[in-house]
Amino acid sequence: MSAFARTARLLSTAVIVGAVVGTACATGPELWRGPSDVDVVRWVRKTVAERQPTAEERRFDDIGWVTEIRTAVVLGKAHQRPIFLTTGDGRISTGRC
Amino acid sequence: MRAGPLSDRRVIDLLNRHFVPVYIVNEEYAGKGGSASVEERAALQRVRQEGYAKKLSVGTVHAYVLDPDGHTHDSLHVASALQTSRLLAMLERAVAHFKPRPGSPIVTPARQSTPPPAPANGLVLHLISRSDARDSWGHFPAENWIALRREEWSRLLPRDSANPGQTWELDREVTGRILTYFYPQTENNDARTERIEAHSLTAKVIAVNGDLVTARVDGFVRMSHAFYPGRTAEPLQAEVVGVLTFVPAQPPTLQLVTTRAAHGTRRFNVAVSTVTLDAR
Repeated sequence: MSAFARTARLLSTAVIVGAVVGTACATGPELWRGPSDVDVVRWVRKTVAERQPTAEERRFDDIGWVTEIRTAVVLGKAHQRPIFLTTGDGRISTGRC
Repeated sequence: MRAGPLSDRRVIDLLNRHFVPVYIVNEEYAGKGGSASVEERAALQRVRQEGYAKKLSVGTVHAYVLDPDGHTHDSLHVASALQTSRLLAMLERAVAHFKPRPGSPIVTPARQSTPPPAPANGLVLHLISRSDARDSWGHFPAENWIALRREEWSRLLPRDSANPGQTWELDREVTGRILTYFYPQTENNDARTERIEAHSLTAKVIAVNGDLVTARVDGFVRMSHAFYPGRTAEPLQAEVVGVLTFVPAQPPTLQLVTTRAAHGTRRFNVAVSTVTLDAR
């Protein structure tokens, strides 16, 4: 085998090895693109369920809120209770704040 | 506040047993875009003016105690109110001062993030976004509700009959209205679609059972989003997988989840699902 042929063979082997390694990397966990068509319905449903807020994350909802100052004052007078008012930027109810 | 004292069982019990708790969104009380009535804005203004007169801490992001007639009694700047011990102390002082008769919550506690009314023949989507980081913003997920009218959701469906293997791109204007909320919890909540640089969702039919069509959805969104309002925007990219199920001419069911999503170096996860009648 000539020197040229050996070099060409080495180069082609390197290209094949590179392609195999590249493919292996592309299908590795870092670049996982999602479930197969067979699994997609089950996987998406499960993932949506897993990402829902937990009861602990919704403790804010355990408070009996009103959302208008004047309503709170009407209720405060009627029940002789002080009023706790919190004012904030964004929507504390949705977490976009 | 929500992740700290307003999730603390002692604070929750005190508020429910002795107070009328009220929260307001400042944006609704400012400018022409705010939905608060003139009377409601005046009520907030009076709370602040009475606070100034009493030399209390006053500001936009605050916690106040008002007396039962609605007059300002005490206050805490948010930096102090974030400390559960400081907020508890203010509430306990108020209970000692006003001596309200303890009882059940005046208003029954209920879910505060609720879907908007669905337009006639419309579709409502619920979006959850949660950051991997457990910083001040990452303690609980953010939510959005997206209502699509019939003329909008119908553009998600194929124009012709659907056959296994068939693919189509979902209408970009409509998918932009959904994907624009694919960002983690940030102080900036400017969700204008103009932030989107590129996006696409493509459906492929994977099953047809009678009239019922099931399609997988794959796609991405790339946009710029600033963490704080008015600051430099950071790049955001999300890859998306989902399922679209429909019977022709009827509102579809759509579920989307991110497989990878990052805002700058901050990773996050999103889930979108159609609101069912039972859940509303």
